[in-house]
Amino acid sequence: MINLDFLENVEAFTDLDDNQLTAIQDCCEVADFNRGEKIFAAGEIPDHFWIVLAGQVNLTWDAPEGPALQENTITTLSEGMPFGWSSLVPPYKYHLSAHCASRNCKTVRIPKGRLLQLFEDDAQLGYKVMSKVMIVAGQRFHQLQDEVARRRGHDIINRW
Amino acid sequence: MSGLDFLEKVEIFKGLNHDQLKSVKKGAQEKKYFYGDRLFAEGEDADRIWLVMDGQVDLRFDLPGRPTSEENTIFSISTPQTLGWSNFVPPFKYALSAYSATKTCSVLQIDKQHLLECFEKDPRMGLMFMTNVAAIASMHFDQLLESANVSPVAKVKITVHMSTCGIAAGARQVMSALVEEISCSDRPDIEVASSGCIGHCKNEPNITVEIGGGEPVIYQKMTPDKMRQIFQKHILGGEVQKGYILND
Repeated sequence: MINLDFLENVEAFTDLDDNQLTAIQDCCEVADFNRGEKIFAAGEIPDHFWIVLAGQVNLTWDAPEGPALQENTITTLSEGMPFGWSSLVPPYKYHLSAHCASRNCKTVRIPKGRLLQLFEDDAQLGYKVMSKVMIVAGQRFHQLQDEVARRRGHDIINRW
Repeated sequence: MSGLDFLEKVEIFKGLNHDQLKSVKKGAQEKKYFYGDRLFAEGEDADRIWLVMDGQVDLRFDLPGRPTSEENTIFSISTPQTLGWSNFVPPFKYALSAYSATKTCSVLQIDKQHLLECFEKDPRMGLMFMTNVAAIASMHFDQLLESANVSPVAKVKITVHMSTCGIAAGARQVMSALVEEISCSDRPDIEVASSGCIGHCKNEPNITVEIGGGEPVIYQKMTPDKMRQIFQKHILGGEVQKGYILND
């Protein structure tokens, strides 16, 4: 079982009280992945909201003609970092792909339906979590923007 | 139109009931601005959201020591659009300045602190509001991803010359500004490329703009602000910015 000390330090859950953390804890599942293994792909309809429990996870954007590549990574996430924010927001579609970036990684996954039901049952929990999810979304937006610019510049330096 | 009729048409308040809209309205203040008036300045703390009720508001970058100009407009908004993303995302500061772009414009300002107090009292309302704002962010994220992939049917090509001398002079920041502009423009026919030095190192960073089969235009000594102006006026507006063209 995921302990509360871990959950209360996850950015999306930092404002929750112990009862609310316990409700989240009851929904958590652990999933293991090996290096390079896909956790989810851009465009998929999300089933889960995710947190890195151990190891590293890469978030990548996919060129339309090809698979996710190492060089398309916009950020690497480590222990305690949440991902898959778009699972909680209409139109409920992953924007980026996620892959295991270390030899092994452990993730906590929370079924989207159960989390949205918790929001419905305890609106204060939902409001606190969504306020933090907005911040995560803002971080991803800026990371993607920086990476797009960096990647294009890097390609050309290599050709030059 | 009464204030409540207007509020219920605004996307960020979608799903709120009559009583919730009434509580939002208590923190709202209607203000009228005249052409050229500034609503807020880039870098100021984002402490309220702005709803355009009538007229048009331009979001512009300001150049130090110069008066504001329509030429520096990044995009314009009209009723019932909202400005307010910066209120909820670090560093919680406005990224651009806003000016009245019509003879008069009416806006509804809603104090961020008042909204947060409403949400504390009624978290269900806060949950709906934050979900609506995040859904708008999700749409912008998709637009940015689309702009990141070069269109095979591009009619406009913008080349940023990113040699080591160009990068040292700031070409990477120019590229960032360009990518940001394209993400806001909804123009899949614009292709961005980069290339090496074109032999004008002292005038770097350089960019080349090619529209359709027209003559390429090379701009010199680019900055992010100049890039935004060229994007709006030349690429979207068709007006070559002669003052910035490379001098041979």
